[in-house]
Amino acid sequence: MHLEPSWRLGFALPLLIILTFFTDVTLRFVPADRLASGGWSAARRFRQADGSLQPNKRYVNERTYGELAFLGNLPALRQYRRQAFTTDAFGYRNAPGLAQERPIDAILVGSSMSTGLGNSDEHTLSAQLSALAGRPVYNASLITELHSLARIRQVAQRLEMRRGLVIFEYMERFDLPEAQDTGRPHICFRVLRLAGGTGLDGVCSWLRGTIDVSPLRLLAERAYKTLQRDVVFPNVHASNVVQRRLRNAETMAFFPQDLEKFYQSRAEERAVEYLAWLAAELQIDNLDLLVVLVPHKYTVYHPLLQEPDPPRPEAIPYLYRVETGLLAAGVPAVNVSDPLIKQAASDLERGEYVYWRDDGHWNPRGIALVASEIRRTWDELSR
Amino acid sequence: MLFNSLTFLFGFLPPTYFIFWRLKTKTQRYIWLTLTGYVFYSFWDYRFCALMLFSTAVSYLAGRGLLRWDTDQRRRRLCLVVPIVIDLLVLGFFKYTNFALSTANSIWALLDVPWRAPLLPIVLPIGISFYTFHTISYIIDSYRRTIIPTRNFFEFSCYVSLFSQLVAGPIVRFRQIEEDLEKIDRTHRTSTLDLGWSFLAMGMMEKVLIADTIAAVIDPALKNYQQLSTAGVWLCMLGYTYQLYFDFSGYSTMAVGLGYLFGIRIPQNFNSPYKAINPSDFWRRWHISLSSCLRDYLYIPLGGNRGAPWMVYRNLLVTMVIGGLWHGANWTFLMWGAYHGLLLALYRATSGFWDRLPAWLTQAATFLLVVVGWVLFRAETVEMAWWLLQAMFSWRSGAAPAGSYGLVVVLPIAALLAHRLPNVFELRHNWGPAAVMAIGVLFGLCLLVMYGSGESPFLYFQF
Repeated sequence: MHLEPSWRLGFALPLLIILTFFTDVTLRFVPADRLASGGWSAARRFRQADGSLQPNKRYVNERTYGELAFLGNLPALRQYRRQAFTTDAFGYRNAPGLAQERPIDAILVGSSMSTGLGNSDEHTLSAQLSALAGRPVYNASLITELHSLARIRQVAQRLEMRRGLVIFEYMERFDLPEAQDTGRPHICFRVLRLAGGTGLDGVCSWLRGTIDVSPLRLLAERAYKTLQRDVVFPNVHASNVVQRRLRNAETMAFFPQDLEKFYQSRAEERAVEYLAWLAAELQIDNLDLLVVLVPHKYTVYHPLLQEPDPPRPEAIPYLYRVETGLLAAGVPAVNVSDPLIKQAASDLERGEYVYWRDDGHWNPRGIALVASEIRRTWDELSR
Repeated sequence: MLFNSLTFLFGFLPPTYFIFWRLKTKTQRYIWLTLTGYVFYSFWDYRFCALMLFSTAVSYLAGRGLLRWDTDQRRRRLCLVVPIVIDLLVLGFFKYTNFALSTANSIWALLDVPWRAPLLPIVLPIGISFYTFHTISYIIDSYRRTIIPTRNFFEFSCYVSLFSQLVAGPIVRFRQIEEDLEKIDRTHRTSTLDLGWSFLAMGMMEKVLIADTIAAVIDPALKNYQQLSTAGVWLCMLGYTYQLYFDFSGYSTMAVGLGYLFGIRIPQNFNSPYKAINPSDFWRRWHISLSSCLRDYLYIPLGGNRGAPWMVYRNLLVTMVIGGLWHGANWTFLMWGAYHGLLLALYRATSGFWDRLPAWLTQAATFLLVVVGWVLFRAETVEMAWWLLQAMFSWRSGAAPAGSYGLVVVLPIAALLAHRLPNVFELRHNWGPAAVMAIGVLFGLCLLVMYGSGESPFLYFQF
C-alpha cells in the first residue's frame, strides 16, 4: 500500500520524538515553581557557583506539604500549608533588605533546620530569633553545606560585621566535620570562568538549572506517582520513609537515617574538637560562636510512640556528651533536646506537635521554642 | 545508555543516524558504526572499551592468520585455539572468578577447613558474554571455512561493536550480516526505514508497557517473597514469565529495528516461545541466537544426536548446563540449565508418547514446565528458589503482591500476545493510517512512561 509520507512510521515516529524533545526543551524556559517540591527546590534550580541559592527569588505556594509525604508518596500524611520562600541578593534565605541593615548582630549557619525547610519565611529560626531578641540575625544556612569557615567569613565580610555572634546549628543526624568546603565550583563555572571570568557565573547558573530540571519529567513523574499508591502499582517510594504511630494514634513520619543514627554508638570527641577549632578561628575575626545542639525528630518522638521502639544503646545520648565537651572547652552551647522532648510530650494530647508530621523539620511551634532557648543563652553571653 | 532512554532517543540515535547516512564509503560507515558502538558502550563503563578492543583485535588477527595460513593445519589450529582460550580466560576471569572462589569457600566450610579465599573486587563488564560469543563464533566459522575472514579491521570491529546488539544480543554471527556489511555503501536509506521504526516501536512497547508494568508489581513483591501466599507466588512467577519474555524479546526487537535503520538485518531471536509444544520446540523458539550457537559450537561437536541414547542425553545436559552458566555465575543458573537439559533428555526419551498428545495439552504442559524453570532463573539463591517452589506446590497463606490491579490488566494482554497472537516477525508491518496513529499513541505513551518512571534496564544486561 502506498502511503503518504506523513502516515508512514518512518516519518511519524521520528516526528513524535522531535516534538517531544522540543516540548521538553520549551518547557524548561517556563517557570517551574509549581512543580517544585517546595521553596528550597525552586530556589535551588538556578543556584550560584558557591552553592548559595538563586538570588532575589520569591516563591509562594498556598498548598505545600512536607518532604516526607513527598518522598514517601503518602498523600494521606500531607499537612497542607502556605509557604513563602524568599532569598536576598546574596542567595540566602532572608528578607530582601536585611543584608543592608547595620549592624547585623548574628549569623546563623547550619542544616536544613536553620534554612527553614518546611516552613514559611516568617517562621524560620532566624526570623523568629530576630523578632524575639530584637536584633537582626542573618540566615546563611544552606542544606548542602553544614558549615564552612570560608563561607562564614565571606558572609561576615559582606555584612561588614566587625564583631558579632555566629550561631551554629548542629543537628544530631550529621557527623562533624562533614561537607568540607571544597572551594571548587561546578565544572560549568570553571569552564566559563576561563572564558569570561566570574562575569559568566550567571550564565552557568542558568544553563545548569535549565539542563538539570525538566518540567516535562517532573510532570510525568508526578503522574506516574499517582499510579504508585498500592492500587495500580505498589508504592515503591514508601520505603523512603519510616512511619510510626504516636500515643495519640496519629501517624508520624521519620527519615530512615534518623533511626539508623539513633541506634548508632557515636564518639563525641571529633565534633567537640572541630567546633572548638571553629570557635578559635572565628575569634580571629572577632566573632563569637554559639553552638545550638538540635535533636532529630526521632529522638524527640521516640518516647511518645504507641508501640515503643528499642531504647538507644548509649547511656548518655550523643548531643549531651557534645554539650559537655563544648562547655568544658569553653565553647558556649545550648542543647535544645530537653525542651523539645518535654514540649512534644505535653503537646501530644492536644494534638499539637513541635515537628511537622509529614516533614523531617520542626514546625513554627518548635522553632519558637528553640528561638527562645537561644535567646536566653545569647542574652547571658551578651552580659 | 538504554534503548528505552531519552538520552538514547534524543542524544545518541539522531546524530548516529544522520551522520551515518551522510557518509558515502564502506570504510567510513564501518568506522562510524565502530566509533558509535564504543561511545554507546562507554556510557556503561568507559574503562572496559579497552577490553572489548583487545578482544576484537585478537579475533581479527586470528582471522587474518587463518587467511594467511590457509593450508598450514598446525598454524590454523593455533589461530583457532589461542584466541578462543584468550576470550574464554577473559570471560572466565570477569564472570566466574568470584563464583569459583565462593564455591570453594563453601566446600572448605563443609570440610571444616578454616581458611577462606578472599573474593576479588571484580566488576563484570557489561555485554561481555555477548561480544565474546560474537568473536568466538567468528573464529570458529573462519576455521571451519564457513566464512572468509575479513581483511578490513573496521568491518570486523563494526560487527563486534555494533551498538544495536552489543550489550544484550542477539548473538549475531558474522555470516548472518556479512552480506549487509559488504553492501553497506549501496543500501538505500529509506528501503527499510519504516520497517525499522515499526520494529523499534513494537520492541519499545513490549519492554516499556508490558515488561516494566509487570516488573513494577512483582519486583517489590519478590524482594519480600517470604510474605507471599501460594497464589501470590504463582502470580509473581507467572508475571515474571511474561516480564522476562517481553523484556528480552522487546530488546531484541528493538535491536532488529535499529539494525534496519542502518541497512543491517539482525536475525530473529524469539519466535513465540510460549507457543512451544515440547521442550525441544521451546529451545527452537527462545533466545534462538544463543541456542543455535550452543547447538553448533557445543552440542554438535560433543556428538549431538549421534551415538547411544545415554550419550545424547549427556550431550544435552552438558550443553544446557553450560548454557545456564553462560547466563550468570550462580548455582541457580546452573540448576536452571540442568533442569532444561533434563527436560530435553526426558522429552527425547518420551517423544513417541508426548507427540501423540493433543496440542493444547502439550502446549500447556510445556508452558508450565518453563514457568517452573523460571523460578530457578529468577531466584537469587538456591534457598529462595526452594522456598518459592515449595510455596507454589504446597498451600501457604500470606499476602498477594501489593498494587496488583496493574498486573490484572497487563497479564491477560501479555498472555494473549504470547500465546495466541502473531509475534512481531510474523506481522507484515504494512500499516495503514489508523494503525500508524495507534502505534504513535502507544509510542508516545512509552515516552511519557520513560519520563515518569526513569530508566529501566533490560534483564539480560546482567548476563
